[in-house]
Amino acid sequence: MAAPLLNVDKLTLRFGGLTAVSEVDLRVEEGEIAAVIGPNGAGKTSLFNAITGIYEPTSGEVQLDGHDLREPMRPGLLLRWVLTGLGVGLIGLLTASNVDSLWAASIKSQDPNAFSVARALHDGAGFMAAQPRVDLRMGKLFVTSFDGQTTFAVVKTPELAAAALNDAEKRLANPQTDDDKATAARTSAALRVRFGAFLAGLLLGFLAARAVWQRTRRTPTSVALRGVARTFQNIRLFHNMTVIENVLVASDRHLRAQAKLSDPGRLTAILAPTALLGLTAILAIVVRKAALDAAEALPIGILASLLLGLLAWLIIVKRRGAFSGASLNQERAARAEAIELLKFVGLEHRIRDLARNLPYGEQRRLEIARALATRPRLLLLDEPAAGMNPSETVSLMHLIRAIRDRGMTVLLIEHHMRVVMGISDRITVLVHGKRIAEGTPDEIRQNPAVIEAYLGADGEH
Amino acid sequence: MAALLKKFGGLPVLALVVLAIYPFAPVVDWALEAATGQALHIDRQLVNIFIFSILALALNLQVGQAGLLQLGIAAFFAVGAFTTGVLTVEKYPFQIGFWGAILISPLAGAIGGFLLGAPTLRLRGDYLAIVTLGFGEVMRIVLLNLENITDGPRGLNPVPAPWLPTLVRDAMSPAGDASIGTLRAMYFLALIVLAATVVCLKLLERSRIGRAFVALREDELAASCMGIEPARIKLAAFTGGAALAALAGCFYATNLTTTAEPNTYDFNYSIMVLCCLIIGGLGSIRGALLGAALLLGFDNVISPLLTRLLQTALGGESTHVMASFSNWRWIVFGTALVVMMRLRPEGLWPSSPQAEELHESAGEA
Repeated sequence: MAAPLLNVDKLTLRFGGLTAVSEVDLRVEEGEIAAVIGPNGAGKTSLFNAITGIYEPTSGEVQLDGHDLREPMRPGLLLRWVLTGLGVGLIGLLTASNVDSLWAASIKSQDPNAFSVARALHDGAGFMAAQPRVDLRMGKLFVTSFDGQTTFAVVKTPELAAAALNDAEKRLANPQTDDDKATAARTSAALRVRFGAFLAGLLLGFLAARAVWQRTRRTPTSVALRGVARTFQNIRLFHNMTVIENVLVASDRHLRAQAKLSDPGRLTAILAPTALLGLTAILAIVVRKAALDAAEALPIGILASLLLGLLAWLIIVKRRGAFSGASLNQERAARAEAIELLKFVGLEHRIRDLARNLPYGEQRRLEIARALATRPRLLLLDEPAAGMNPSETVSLMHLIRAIRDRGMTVLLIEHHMRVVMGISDRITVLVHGKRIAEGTPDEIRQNPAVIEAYLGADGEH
Repeated sequence: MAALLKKFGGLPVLALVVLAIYPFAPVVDWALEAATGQALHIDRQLVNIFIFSILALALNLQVGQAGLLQLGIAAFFAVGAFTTGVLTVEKYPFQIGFWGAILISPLAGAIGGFLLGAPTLRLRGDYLAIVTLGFGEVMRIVLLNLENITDGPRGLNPVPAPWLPTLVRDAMSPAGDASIGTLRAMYFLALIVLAATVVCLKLLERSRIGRAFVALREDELAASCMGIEPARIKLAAFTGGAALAALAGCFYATNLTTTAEPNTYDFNYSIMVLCCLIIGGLGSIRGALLGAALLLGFDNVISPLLTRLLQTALGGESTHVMASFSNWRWIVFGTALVVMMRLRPEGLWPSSPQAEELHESAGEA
């Protein structure tokens, strides 16, 4: 037997001491209309909220088509956490080693008109490693310890400075005097602090990224994207948007899925900014007043282009256009689909009205249309007939059957017994968070436990 | 007349045309000069207004459109200004000029926005406001303390004027006056970038991301149940707004020829931008533009004018604190806000659905 479309296995949901849902099993087969009934406070909506990722179940599993609804672990995630950790670690390292002095040591120490990137990198690395450095102050070159507290030599020419620097490094590597020993101790202490800050940042970033991922493994969004859509007991439309906009918001996901690399516009979107920025970088460096070494300008420009290209690629391709606009054709197709859906639920005459100006029954229909626009496999309806008059209720029943006939599976919560008994293939009864019965409408009608707990007193609700 | 106006693109195009012609025929300047006997240089103020409008639009993207209460926009403005400063001043070896800076400072702003937004955007409204408020102050103090990089309270200067082809430069400068040429260059550059920003934001508003913004503002839970990822959409808005604010910062520094001292970018500055939005209409692009024009117009045009009138009335050079209208600015802004909240909470020129929304709820209450 194939796995059921929705399989809820021993789902428990506890809020502090209150158990809202207790070890509930629920199976919904593909293509059927299933119902959950029960008196008020039986935990029906809590069950829906747990299925759609609004609540995290205390225990138990929710599977769609045999797959857990939680996002699976991928190796790419590990890379992401490590990168986040490295980023935070770098910030920690820079903070611990003082960005201001790093800047002074690597960039300000040189004559801006004879600047060498290679030297800046070398000096910067030296500073990070807490090695002695050369400072240009009042026309003289001071060879000092990394923190400037010990001055080893004051010289006039860069050649002498290089020699003095070499000498200072040797002295620190094998300190003889008390002064040198103190400097060497300060150096190793600073290195320990920097390394510690980097490690702490690395760990913090890694753990934080991992914690965020773990807490968002199952979110309403991820559940919706896997093909479970829902409506709400207390209507939650986007009240100040028009009817068609409400539906279009929900069809967003398909626009995104359709936006693939094959789109030539996408390639342009990557190449154009890359080329532009790269060219500007090269031009800016070449035409600026104090020219860099020409030999350095070109590699920097090329490197900048490559980095920006990588960035553009990461943003545009990897995100499959999540941040880029959909093409006009896609927008048009989405609109056509939205209008078709609105016709399907009978709201085609309301397309341009604001959602909040709709009467109650039509708002419920709009919520259904909006849910359908996500192209779900499973549609959860939370009391769709609440507040409807008898004729609206009948047309709602037709609508739900029509939805099933479009190939979707429907799971609904309902108090209207006529609706439930009229359209459901299977009914699950919840009382006080526990499942007390499950079966066809006829079985449920005759189940003594159900009659006692729920229908007992006056037959129909 | 109205039909004719509509045919050629309506009010925005008319405004653009008028603003494009204005530096060559500053009629208001002439009129005021004839009336008061003093030159006001409204075109110079207009550059400030354009730059401030870009900043207001950046904040509008975050606060108005995406609904993220951001109280530290000045920090990103400062990031743009100081990135431009570091990359263009003569004391540093980069010197990539305005054209390089205009591309790189938004990038720096975006990185800043991303780094702040990624861990904090999951916070709910009030908490985010506190985080951004804190970030704004931290950024100001960091800029003050990174003395080796930013020159501390002195700020970086001179930021060079944008390089222009000789042909354009000559066309802009009457009788070879380079300072007027630079001013006009800044005027048109800022105007073009502002117009482009408005067009982009308008398109964004109508795109699916714009729809997602509205949906998230209306009902975040329902939106996320429809497959919208709140964290990602908010981060996009926050990063985009930060980049735009940094772009404005780049213009600001170039126009001033200095990054100004870090204390310029304080909490008051952020609040002033927010005031623009509230006065113009939160979430409305045209409202943000109007608010920026009104606030800066008051600050830079009306208040000097009134001060002069006051001085004349007092008979000479009064040095009393109250005799200068710019000292009244916070009183005037505060009163304006209170009056606005009471009489027109949706702002002077809101986008139509928002106006309806607020009036409806006022009617219900």
